[in-house]
Amino acid sequence: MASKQQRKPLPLKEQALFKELLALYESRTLKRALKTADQILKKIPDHGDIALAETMCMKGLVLTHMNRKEEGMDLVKKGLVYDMQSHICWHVLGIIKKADKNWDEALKAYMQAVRCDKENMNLLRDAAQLQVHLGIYDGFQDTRWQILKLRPNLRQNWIAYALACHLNSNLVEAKNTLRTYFGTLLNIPDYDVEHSEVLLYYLRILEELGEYSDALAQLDLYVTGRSIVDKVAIAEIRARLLSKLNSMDDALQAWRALIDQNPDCHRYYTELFKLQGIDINSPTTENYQTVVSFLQELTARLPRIMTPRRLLLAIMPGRFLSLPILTVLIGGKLHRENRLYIRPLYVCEEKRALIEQIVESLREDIEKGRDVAALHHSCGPYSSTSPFPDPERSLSLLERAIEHTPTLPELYMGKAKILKIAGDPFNAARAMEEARRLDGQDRYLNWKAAKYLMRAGNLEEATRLLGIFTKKDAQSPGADLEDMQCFSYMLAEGDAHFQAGRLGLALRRFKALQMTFDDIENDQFDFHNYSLRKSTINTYLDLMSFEKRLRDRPTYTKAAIASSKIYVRLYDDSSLSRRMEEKISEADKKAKKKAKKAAQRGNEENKRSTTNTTLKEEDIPEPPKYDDPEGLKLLTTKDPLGDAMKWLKPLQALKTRSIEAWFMIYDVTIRKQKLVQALQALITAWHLDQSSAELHVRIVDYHIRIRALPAQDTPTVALLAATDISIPPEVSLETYNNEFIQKSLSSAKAILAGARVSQLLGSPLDIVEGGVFELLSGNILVDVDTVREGLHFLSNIGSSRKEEFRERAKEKFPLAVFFGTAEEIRIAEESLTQYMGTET
Amino acid sequence: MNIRLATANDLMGMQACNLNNLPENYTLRYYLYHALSWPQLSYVAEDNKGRIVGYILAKMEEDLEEGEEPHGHVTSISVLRSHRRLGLAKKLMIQSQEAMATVYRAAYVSLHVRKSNRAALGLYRDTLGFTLSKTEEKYYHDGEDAYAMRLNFKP
Repeated sequence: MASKQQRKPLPLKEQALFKELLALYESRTLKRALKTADQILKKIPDHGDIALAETMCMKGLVLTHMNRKEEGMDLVKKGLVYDMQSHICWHVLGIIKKADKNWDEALKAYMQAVRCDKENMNLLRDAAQLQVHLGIYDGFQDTRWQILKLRPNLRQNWIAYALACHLNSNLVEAKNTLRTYFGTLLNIPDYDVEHSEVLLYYLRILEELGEYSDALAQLDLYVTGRSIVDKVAIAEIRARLLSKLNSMDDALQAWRALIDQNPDCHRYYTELFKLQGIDINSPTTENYQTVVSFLQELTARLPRIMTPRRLLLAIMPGRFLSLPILTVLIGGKLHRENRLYIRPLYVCEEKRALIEQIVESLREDIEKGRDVAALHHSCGPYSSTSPFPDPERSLSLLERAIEHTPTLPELYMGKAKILKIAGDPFNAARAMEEARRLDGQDRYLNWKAAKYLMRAGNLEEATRLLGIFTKKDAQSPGADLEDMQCFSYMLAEGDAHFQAGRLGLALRRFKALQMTFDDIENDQFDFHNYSLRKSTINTYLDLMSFEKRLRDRPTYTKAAIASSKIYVRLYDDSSLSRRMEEKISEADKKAKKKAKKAAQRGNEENKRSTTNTTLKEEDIPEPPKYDDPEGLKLLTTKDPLGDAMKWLKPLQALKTRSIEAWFMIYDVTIRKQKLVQALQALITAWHLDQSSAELHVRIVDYHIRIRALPAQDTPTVALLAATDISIPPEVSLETYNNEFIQKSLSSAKAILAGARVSQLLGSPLDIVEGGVFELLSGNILVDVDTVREGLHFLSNIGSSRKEEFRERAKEKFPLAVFFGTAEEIRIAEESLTQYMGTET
Repeated sequence: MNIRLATANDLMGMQACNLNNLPENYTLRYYLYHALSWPQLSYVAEDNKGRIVGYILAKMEEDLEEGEEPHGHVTSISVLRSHRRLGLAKKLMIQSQEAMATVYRAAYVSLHVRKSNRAALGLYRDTLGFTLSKTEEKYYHDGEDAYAMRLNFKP
């Protein structure tokens, strides 16, 4: 092996130059560093000389800093071939890989470097950081042990080793490490916050070990010694430990003290009652009185605190409530503010009746539009979120209130929401804009107005509004919002493109969201060592579990579902991406240029947000920003299903509770012929909601495929037969579907699902159509969205009764512009655009 | 509304709330930095669906001048419009101030507000008891001046 050859040092003069090169690099004097490297390399002829390896690598590193990355990497690789025993060469490779956020490769390089120089603190520390970031906890423990052995005088190293043991599930060793560490401490000043945090971490370890009485004794010692300074933490830990030790009286007292200190923290109430075996959200008849007395006492003592009253309202059964009691609990009258905790009460019929009584007593005021607050409530029972929506009535009441008080944005916002759900995004956007114009300084209204405009398909006006609050020196309002990681914006704009059929742009927006999640995940890297420096280990551990479930959030899930839907469509219709491509190339050149510019803008981070942090990042230039402003590359992917899976994999791994995500996992895996994975997705969905109509469609779809398999493919058949979703072979799928429809006659979604399944099973068109028309007949509780889905479905299967369906839908939902003619929709769009132009 | 200490899990919700409400925004990194530096100081208000409807993001001043007392600083505080007028900002502020005083022995808390933001100015002065300490010229990136305000903890 070449590297085993005699290590031959550089000549003395060049050794001095090399030292200078290192210093120049450290101070980032790059041009001179490059010159110095060249000086050495020129002097010594390149005959694969091992002495040149480190210089080459250093020169390569310097080049990567000077935006000549490829050239630099070539040199580094060459240098490494010359000498694979040099820790400098490996270190250089590690630094470059780390800057690329290629953590795996970086760690490999660092481990090689450590092998070459076993006692190099910098290398060990960096390697440990990579290990913990990658979740390699046994390696992390080993490395931190090496560091502790080499530098036991640094307090950070003890804490880090304890943490490493903890993460590697060696709790006892973690505990012992901290105890040894505490033993080495001489005098600690009072009010040392960092030491206080370490003690809190120690208590956490004891608690996790189940050593509650020890933990409690320690806590008391720390409190009297004033070494823990975080009073809230002290009180919470004490209450928790006492509860776990079943010290009933003391524990009750501890939780009550916490409630006194922060009476709006719901968890304290939950814990207080849990201790007494009571579930505060649904107390039994035996313990009901205990809860009510406690809350009533609290309400009397703290009349201005909302939480005890809200809890009382929630748990008191409707039959126990009377009008006077209810009136007291909601604070004497219907304030606009207490709607927030009155609204959840509408689900209880008796409570709704009482609230309606109050509203009724104010009837005259409401009719005249005088009592705006009461009016706002009176719309409640009829609003779109109630089980009995009556949008016309709500709108007319709101109109009257607006006549009386035309300056209250909330009234217009209420109108907007009702219109939105009633299927008129255009007038909804207009109403929200009216609200915004009443208070142009309020970003909340600004965002709402922009969002409603996006939903109405008017991206141009939405962008103009957003620009009022984004940085003026940003490339575009959207660029600023993206830099600020505004997920709701990226999602809303992606959805708007999706709705308008601009699939490339939709994919591109969602991609931006996906990359922002990657950024956030990578951000964590610097905080591993930072938290050690600050001793905030408990918070750090919370951060680790947050990062592990990072993508299990509604924003990511929604974008993943929408993107996968697009990819599935691209897969099913192979000409779609080509048609889209043509559409784009015809599109307005100017708009394209503009978008391109936006995408190429530099990644200038918010100054205020980074200059304050003391974390220093490697300053190797970031890889160029993802281009493809129109999403063409995404659209013309060779592997749409693979791209969809990239979105869905994290959700699958995190066992998401989103049933829709599991449907997408099914839709993708079944197309990839992965029958077992598809089955797993169905079973998971079944456990989340057995009655789901979408699930029904897929269960039948799966059986169609399985029953069509050649007889010899028995393992899959057997696997399916053993599951909860299996349809016995003697039952025909048609019968199964009919039974499903009969069983759920009152559910609109089930009716539509039934129609879709009969189409899948090849039923005649008129039967399928008849199924869809059921949506509009009789007394079925159906919302605009489901009817709209029905309309889309009819359109997709080429039904000749589509127009008839549309007209009847319009009769049923007169407010829904969606069910208007193309001309009517165009007029609505235009009148919105016109209104947007009227701002003075 | 539920008022409680902010945890790592809340940071994205706080960020979303901030973007909905205020023109001064930060990347998540900056929220992480607060949480891992002063984990006791930031609080959130949460609705019954677990959505963050208000927050206070706070820190201790790091670069103290000669003779300056330790003090807290409110980086950002806001409540969604749908949840205003419930006194949430005050509740958040009180919890954070209490922690600044007990954990870090802060003498006072300071904050900045745009000169033009009369609504916020009213909240800080009238509801929360802050007083004007000085004007900082061109404090914001768009060139607007800021009022520096403070609230002393000791009577």
